[in-house]
Amino acid sequence: MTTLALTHVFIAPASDLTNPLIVAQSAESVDEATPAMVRRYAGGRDRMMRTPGRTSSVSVSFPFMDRTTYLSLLDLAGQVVLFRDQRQRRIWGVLANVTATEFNARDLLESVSFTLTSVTVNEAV
Amino acid sequence: MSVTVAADLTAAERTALIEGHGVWVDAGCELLDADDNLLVDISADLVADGSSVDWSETNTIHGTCTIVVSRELNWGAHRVRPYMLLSSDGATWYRWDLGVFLLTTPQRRADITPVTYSVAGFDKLDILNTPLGRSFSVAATDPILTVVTTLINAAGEDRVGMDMTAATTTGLARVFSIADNWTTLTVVNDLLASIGYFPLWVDRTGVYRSMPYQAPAERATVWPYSTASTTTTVTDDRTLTADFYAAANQIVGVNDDPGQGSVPVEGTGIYTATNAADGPTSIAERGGRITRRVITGSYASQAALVAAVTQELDAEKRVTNLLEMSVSPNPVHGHLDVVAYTDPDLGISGRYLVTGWSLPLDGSDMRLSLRGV
Repeated sequence: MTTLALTHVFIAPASDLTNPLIVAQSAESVDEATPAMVRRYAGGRDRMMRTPGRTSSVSVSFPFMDRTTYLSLLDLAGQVVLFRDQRQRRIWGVLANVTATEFNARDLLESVSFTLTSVTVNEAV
Repeated sequence: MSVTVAADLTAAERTALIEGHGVWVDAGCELLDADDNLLVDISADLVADGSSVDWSETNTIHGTCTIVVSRELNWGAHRVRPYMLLSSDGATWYRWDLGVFLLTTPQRRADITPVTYSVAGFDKLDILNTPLGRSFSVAATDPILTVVTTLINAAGEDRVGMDMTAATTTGLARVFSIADNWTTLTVVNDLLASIGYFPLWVDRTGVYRSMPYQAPAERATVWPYSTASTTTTVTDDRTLTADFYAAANQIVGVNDDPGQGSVPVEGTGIYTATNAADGPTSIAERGGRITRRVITGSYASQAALVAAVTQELDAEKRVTNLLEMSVSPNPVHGHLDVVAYTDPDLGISGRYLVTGWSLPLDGSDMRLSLRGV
């Protein structure tokens, strides 16, 4: 058996999958939110009201990133992208909340992160 | 996930679903052609947040909706049929259609991608709410319900479901002159009133309906709401208005039947009833203030006039309770609804006419406007 070990993540805009941004391996944390809430009614009755589906978001962070890559990442902000992580998971989502810390190196940024909120994409043709 | 029409639920199952400890709420929308035939389900493009269906008992057009969609429709020709789905487990869903609506002017939001439209819709009474464009006459022998159905058919609508149990099937000979700018809807409602029928409405499936008038106090209740119930769906957001300020404490009835042949005077063609000291709307309780109302009509006799005036004053003696409140989504509500309502905190219990409701499609609590009957 051949095991393919990916060392980079792959981020491509849904509008052009042939032009991916490839960045060195990252850290990820996943947040799965269920749209359920408890509402209070007369007499203190608490009931669950929920809507279907689940909101999934991935926070991706990089210890360092060169400025050119960072600017490319900013260009993807607010777009639907296809994200593939180093474990080959495919996630379609909206890339947002890009943050970074400037430090004493002209071409590098540290603690770069973004969030990817998954969207429903039908790949059937 | 399975979807079943809500009509398949028994009353107990429906209550258990809507009042259960946990409710799943979803909504959808279907696109229909000009004959109410299904074109496509556009639920995937429906933005539930901001979409709602609203109902008013008293408006000319009873049903309205606001639909937010992320696709362009043929706004001038397409109809939409929003629906609500409820489930107790997220697997088996029950569907309530919420009416058939014609779309009006869409508003496109510039700040949202993909392109999103917010569009208001009116129920199918809107089709009839256009000038008749001609004079129209009805003979005294014409069966009114047949005439009404013909008028609706002439407007291109053939889904009519009249209650045909009218005690009186014919009215007076009438001429609706083009000079008086009658609409098809006002002619229809005038004719229906002449035989004691409710004004026309369109039900949740898109069928035009009317039936013999029935006082709210005589109608079956569609739902029991109680803040004291352990399964209550009523929120703390509720406001009671005791509307006694404008209640009349003196009613003057005038018989304007031209057949009477003489100028009406008190005792012959006029009857005045006064509430001097009975209850909070009385002249005494209002500090001597007289709030007078004049009612006119054609009465067969002075006794009939006295009865009508007495009935009117009796109603005015009862303080009208107006209630605004929120409840969890309850798509059971429709037209001419009467509910039972008990609220120990507000000190009220009785039957209430639902004068309006607003059902958001995003699962938020719905608004009810009630009036005591």
